[in-house]
Amino acid sequence: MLKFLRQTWSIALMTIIPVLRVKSFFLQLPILAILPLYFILMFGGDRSSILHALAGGIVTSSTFLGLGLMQDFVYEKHYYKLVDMLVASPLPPLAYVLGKLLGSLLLSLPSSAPLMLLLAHIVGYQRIVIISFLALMLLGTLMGCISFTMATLMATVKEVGALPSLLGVVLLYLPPVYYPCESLPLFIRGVAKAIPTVTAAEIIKHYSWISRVSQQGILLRWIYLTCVTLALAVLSIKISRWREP
Amino acid sequence: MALAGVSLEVPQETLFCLVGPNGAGKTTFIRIASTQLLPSSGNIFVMGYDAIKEPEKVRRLVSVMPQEGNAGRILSAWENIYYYLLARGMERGEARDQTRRTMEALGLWEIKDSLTMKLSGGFRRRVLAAMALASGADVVFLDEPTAGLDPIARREFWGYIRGMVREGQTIIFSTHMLNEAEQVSDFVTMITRGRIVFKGTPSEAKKLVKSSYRVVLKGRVSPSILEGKEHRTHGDMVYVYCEEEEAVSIVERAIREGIEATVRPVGLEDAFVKVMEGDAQVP
Repeated sequence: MLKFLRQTWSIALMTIIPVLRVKSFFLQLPILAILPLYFILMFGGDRSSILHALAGGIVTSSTFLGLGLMQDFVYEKHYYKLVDMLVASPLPPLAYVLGKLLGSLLLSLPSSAPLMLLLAHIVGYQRIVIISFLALMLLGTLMGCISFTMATLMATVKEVGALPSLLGVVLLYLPPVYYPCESLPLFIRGVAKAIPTVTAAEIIKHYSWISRVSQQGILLRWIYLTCVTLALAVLSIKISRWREP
Repeated sequence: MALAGVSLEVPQETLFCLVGPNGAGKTTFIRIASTQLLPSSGNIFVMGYDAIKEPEKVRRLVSVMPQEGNAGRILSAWENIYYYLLARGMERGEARDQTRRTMEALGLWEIKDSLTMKLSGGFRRRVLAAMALASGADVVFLDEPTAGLDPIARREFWGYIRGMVREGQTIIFSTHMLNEAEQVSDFVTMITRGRIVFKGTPSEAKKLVKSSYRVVLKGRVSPSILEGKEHRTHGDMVYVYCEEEEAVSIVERAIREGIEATVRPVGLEDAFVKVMEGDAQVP
């Protein structure tokens, strides 16, 4: 167990150290997360819009922490060939994925933590920080599993291209993450609610009194997010190609 | 490149070389044996473990330096090696010692704090090799390890590798530098189009060439010099295979006619060319 933790931590450090040395990488995530909040403030948004933007920013941080790993995976596999060296070593693939996720989670804290603290301050409910962090971890893990699986199926560095950004738009900016679900026509609300980023946003918004759902409803959302994360983790282990066929 | 009908046994504690033209299947062999790639059929055992069915057991015993690997991340040379060893599960203290020992042996200690992205290609290659070698794995696969290294670095590198073999490790490497392969390896296997065409020692390989000497003539060579002698022409270079007395006479004539000539005993490169051209009688 100790060995597994050491292996995971070493991968996390190999993820963190290079990013800390490139300041522009380090700034990218907070800017992406906070950009909608900036526009809302610029256009004189009300309290509700600001809170929606804060919740959206937290979800964006966790989504990009997972999706950003796709480029990391692909570059480490096809350009640096580090993954080839790690495959031919005693490192379990799970330690690699968890290490990358841990590294990304720590790197995302400078962008997500201020948003969480600001949200807690505005709504006057400190526990929202812990709740948001839990949702952030689940969503980040889920996105990391998707990233890892997709990355292992890619044959060249070129394939990764704009995919994380495109997925970011589809998962964050189109569905009701930065705005209320009620703004959508009734017939697509059900579909939107099935998107994990929307579920995570709904959880944060519920505990921040931005838009409340029933106790049963919130429990179902936690269960749904947890189950989808676990299912994707299992699926990721099953179909990812740690060893190439 | 697909491998077909490859049957190969690598003795333990040896320096085993794979040679072959580009795309021959050397890298494919290394990738399969080091559990990176699953073969469509066949068996491969590494120190008694089935690399197809028991990859976890094999992975504890092997390490690999990939052919086109690039240690150019934003990590220092020391960090690349140290964190890789930790990722393999090595204890911190041992990882520190191994990192230092390997870096010193490969002439990397002076650049230990330099970011690898700022190092020259040769240094990056050495860092990558150090990552694989510092692991202390029983079987180390090196895919073209000395490509891009200067002659001094190559000598240091092979000196260290020979020491590892003496201490009980098995090194399997591929290369296009046949002089080097001849000097350092215990066994050589030649692969072409996914098939093994020769396996044996470098001395056995050289015996495939019937002549003892090779004279290389550069310039406008008169046909009378080559009369009755086995030779090959590549542009304005002529490779003549002959015995000692003939070699002396060819060089004397070449000097008289103002042609540049070099003579040397036949080597692995000559055997390689013969085998690849289908000229040699391979046992």
